[in-house]
Formats: sequence, structure tokens, C-alpha cells
Amino acid sequence: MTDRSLVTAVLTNPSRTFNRWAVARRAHHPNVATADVAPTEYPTLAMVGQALLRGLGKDHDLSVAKAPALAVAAGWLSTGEISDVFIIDAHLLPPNVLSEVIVWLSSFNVRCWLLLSVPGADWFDPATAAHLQLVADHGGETFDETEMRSRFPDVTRPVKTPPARPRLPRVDGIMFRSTCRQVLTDEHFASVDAEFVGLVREMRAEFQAITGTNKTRVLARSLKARLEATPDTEALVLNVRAAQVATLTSGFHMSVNTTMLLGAEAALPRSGRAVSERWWELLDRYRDPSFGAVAALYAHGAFHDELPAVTVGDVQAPAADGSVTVCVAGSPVVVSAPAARFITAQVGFRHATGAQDEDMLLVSHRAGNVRAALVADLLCAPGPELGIAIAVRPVRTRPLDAVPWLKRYGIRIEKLEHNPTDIRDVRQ
Amino acid sequence: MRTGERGAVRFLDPDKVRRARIACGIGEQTIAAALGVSSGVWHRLETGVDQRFLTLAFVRDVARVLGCHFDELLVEPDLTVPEPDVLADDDSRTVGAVLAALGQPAQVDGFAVSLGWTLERTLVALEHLEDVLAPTGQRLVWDGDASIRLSVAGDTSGPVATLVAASFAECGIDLIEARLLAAAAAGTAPVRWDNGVRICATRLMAGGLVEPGADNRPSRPTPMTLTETARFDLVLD
Repeated sequence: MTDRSLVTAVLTNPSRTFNRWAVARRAHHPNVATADVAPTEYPTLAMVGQALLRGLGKDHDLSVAKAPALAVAAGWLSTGEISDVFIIDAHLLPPNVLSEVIVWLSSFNVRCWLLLSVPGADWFDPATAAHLQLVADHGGETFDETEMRSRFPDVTRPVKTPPARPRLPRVDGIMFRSTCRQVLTDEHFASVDAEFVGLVREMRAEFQAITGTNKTRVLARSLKARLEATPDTEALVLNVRAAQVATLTSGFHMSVNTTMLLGAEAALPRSGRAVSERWWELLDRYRDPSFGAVAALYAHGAFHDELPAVTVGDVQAPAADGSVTVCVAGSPVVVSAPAARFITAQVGFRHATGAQDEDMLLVSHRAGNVRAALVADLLCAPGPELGIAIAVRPVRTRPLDAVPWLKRYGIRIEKLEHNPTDIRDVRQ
Repeated sequence: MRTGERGAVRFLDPDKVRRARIACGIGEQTIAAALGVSSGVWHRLETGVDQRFLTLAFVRDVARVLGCHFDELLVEPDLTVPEPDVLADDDSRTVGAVLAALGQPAQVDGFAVSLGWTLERTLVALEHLEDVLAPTGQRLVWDGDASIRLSVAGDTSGPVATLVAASFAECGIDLIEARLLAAAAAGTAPVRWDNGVRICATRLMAGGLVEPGADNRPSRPTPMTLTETARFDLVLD
């Protein structure tokens, strides 16, 4: 017997309008999914899983792995994002299959809505009576169309558009601020200048706190982390120019080849683009969570050749903020909230296939484990299919060190040497 | 051609040379052979088409062959003294005084209207204004084709300064310039002061990033200060 609140029958007249309304609920309530099973002679639970994947917006024209649909759907349901599933034309499914569906969805704490479209909404039709009895056996209740519509009203959400940053002047950092003052409108300059000054002060404090040996390398690492996280061209330009000013007054000289900077920005993949290019929204179109899981780990600093060795047990439970920590080759990789759902879904998928903690997180249909080449395939597939460059071939076994990484962007850092011209020495 | 002596003579009078040769009864080929050049070269010299190859020694040889002093073959110098344009000078002083009193850029056509002059008269006065201003340590600066203003002679808003500033904006600065700039921001004198450093300092000054210190002797390092714009850019004042 399942929880009383986790199954509901909705008895309606057959209506295309109502079915379209039900399918459109996901646009208004993201926690709702539909499963519209095609009429077939022998429907099965796996077919419901397949229909649910379609209802979740998975695009079957993209690359897919040969994984069972029910297990993949279980993976996505394990993220906890779905609370209600509408089974459209549920009267076409036999009671035994419906019973399995109810039990299966209940295991993920998902409420199952059986939409029974019967002419005249006849309670006493023998087939309908059998379905209603099934619902009653599972402790569920029966609604009519009006009541269901009132439960899921239309919800309009304002579209969130990020504040547009103006196109910044492509001049060197030593005259960036004054050029902005000349060429930008007062309103744009005020916002850009506030951000620029804040960045310079923040970086200056960070750079001046660098002590010990290899100061240039430490500074390069810090700068690389900042630049890699920038979402778009203007943010990159602003950060680079702020860094130029901050380094000059912190005992370093940072020269920038602007042409190389802009060229590399356009050509090289950067994890910061996940926001501006909507990586996680687009990767959600893949049927298999492995594409998103690999991209999430790679974008958060994991090396792609170490991912095949990650086990299910290496993934810790999601934190309160939605982030997930994964132990990759002995070191923790913290994956932030928007991307962490793919890892949770991948773990759910592996559990659905019977995997234990010591089993591999990533698998192929041929063998129980995968090689780095397959991980590279998973990383590079979204390039041609979705138009987002997470990695380019050949995927580097080890990412570039900070200094050559910056050099690819036309950035070179030198020390101003220990002499009285070093402003930091003078201040001390 | 003889090129043993330096100092090209560019003002050989072709008519005088031709007349002297004819007076001597010598043909072009003969004199060319005597001087060791081809007849084509001599012809170009005599017709005034090309005198670039001339040297003082060659002119002396020509004079020797023609039996005269080389001074007789040169172009007469223009010894006329130009009369001073008193009217234009007065107009220039007027323009200079008005510009100094104005203290800001002015449009040339509006300037002419306010003075009650024609545009031509105003332009002539502006042409002479440079000479009038030179002793006062000021100069006339044209902003585009139509706007003028007075500036001190050492101002960095000229075309060179514009080019240097454009170079800084596009390519940035090198390590030595960065050291100088950091020193200027700290108010200290650069440690080294060799030719390379001096050139970089000049570039920074021309680009409007630093200003020379009080002791501006080129032989020793002196603290430079950031300009107002550079302080805005680098120190975030």
C-alpha cells in the first residue's frame, strides 16, 4: 500500500484540449512531467519510462547511450525535481501496469495523476471501474477536470534578463578607466566604473597578500581562476584590465596582447561560459545524465582521464545549497548547484541499474567501465549537437598550467623586480 | 660620375652652362667624354632635368673644362629681403590677445564673425600667429580643421602625443615603462637612468601619463609624477 497522497485519478470526457492543457503544465510548473504512452497492444512499465523521458523534454535525436529507459528515467526522478507525473490516457494502460507505475513513482515520492478519459466520464464503465478500484486500493482519490485545473493554474513568470553590460573599449589597462569615461554614457560608466574599481581593489588586496616563492606563478594561478570564470567577452575584458592596474601597483607588470585576448576568448572553451551559453539547460536535453555529469565535473576542475575511475561511492550526498562533492583521484571536486543535478541523476541511474558504491559512476553498454576516450566523446559531443564548446579535441590529459594558459590569451606577467621602484616596497 | 666629395650642388644654372659650352665651341659628346660621363648624363644636366648627381668637385671640373670660374655657372642667389607684413602682424597680435583672453577653444568662422573680419583675413592672421607667439612660450593648436586654441609650447596634445597615446592604448607599455610608471605612482626616482630609461620616460611624458619632476635635467634620474588622467586610471583617484 502506497502513501494516500501519491496517487490520484482524474475522470474526464475525452478532450484534446484537456490533454494539451496537461502537457503544457510543465511550462507553468517545472516540477510537473507528463507521460503520454502511445497506444500499443502490450504496454509495459518501460514504455511509461520512455514516455516520461519524452515528457521531461529529453531529445531522442541527440546522442544516446544504450541504457534502459526506465533506469534513466529513475535517474532523473532521483534528483527530486519532479513532484507530479501526469499519465495521459491512463485508461489505455492495463491495471497491472498502472499498479507498477504507481509503485515505481511512489518510490521517488512522486505523485501519480491518472488521467482517465472516458466518454461521459462514466464511473460505471467496467474498465473505468477497474482503474478506479486500483486507485482506491492504493489509497488514492478521484478528481474531476475542474478540480484538477484548479490545482495546476497557469503561472506566468517574468523572464529574467541579466543586466546588459555595454561594449567596453578595447584599450590597454593603463588608460582603460579614462577611456571608459570618455566613450561610455554616464549611466553605463557609473556601473562599469563601480565594478572596475571594486575588482581592482579586490585584486590588489589579493595580489599584495602573495608571499613566499614563485609569486608570479601564484599570481598567474589566481588570475587564471578569475578569468576562467568570466562568462562573456565584456566580463573578461573588464577583469583583465582591472588585473593590469592591480598588478602594476602590486609589484608586477602584466602585458596584454588585446588581439590574442579577444581571439582566444572567441575560440577556446572556458568554464565561465556555462552561464552565458546556458550549458546546463542545454545539456538537460540529453536523455542520459552522463553527458551533463561529465561536463559538470570537467568544468569544475576534474581531469577527464581520471573520471573513469570515479565510483558511485565517491559522490557525496547533496549539500544544503545543492552542491555535490565528488572525490576524484583522491581530491574533492565541488560541483555547484545548477550542474550538480546531473551527477545526482547519474548516481540515481546507476543505483537503478543495481550498482553498489564500489561500482563505477560512468559505464558504457559494452562493459562495466569506460576509458578516457569515451569521456572525451561525452565532453565533445555537445559541441556539434548543441553548439556549446565544453572541450575541444584533442582533450588534454592535463589542463594547461596557469602561465601557458594565460599566454594563450596573450597575457604575460613579469615582476617589477626588487628595487625602490616597486611600489609595494616603498609602501613598506 | 664622381662622388668622391660630399656636398651636392643643386643650383647649377643649365642656361649658363649651355651658353658657356657653345661659347667654347665644344659639343655635348666631347665635354661628356672629357668629364668622364655619358652624353645622356650631360644632356640631363644641361637641360636641368636631373642634377642630383652633382658634386662640388664635378662642378669644379666642368668649370675647368669650360675655362671659367664655377661661380659663373651657378644660379644667381635671391638676395631680395621680404618686406614685413605689418598688417598681418597686427592682426596676429589681435588674434593672439583675443585667444589668450578667451582661454578656451574657438571656432575659426565664429572667431572671424566676432572680430568683424573676413575668413581669409582671419586665416592669414592665424598663419602669422605662430611667429608672434614663439617668444611668449605659447603655440597655436588646431583641433581638427575648424577649432583653435592657445597652448603652452610643451603641451602634450600634439600629433606625436596623440600617436604615442594611441600606441599605449593598443599595445600597452613595456617592462621599463611599467617600472617608471610604478615609480611615479610611488613618488620615487627610478634607480637606473640610462638612455633606454630616458627614452621610455620621454614616451610616457609624450603619452600624457607622467609629468617631469622639478629637477628636469636629463643627466640624472628625478622623481616623476603621474598626470591627473593617469592617477584616475591607475591610482583610482
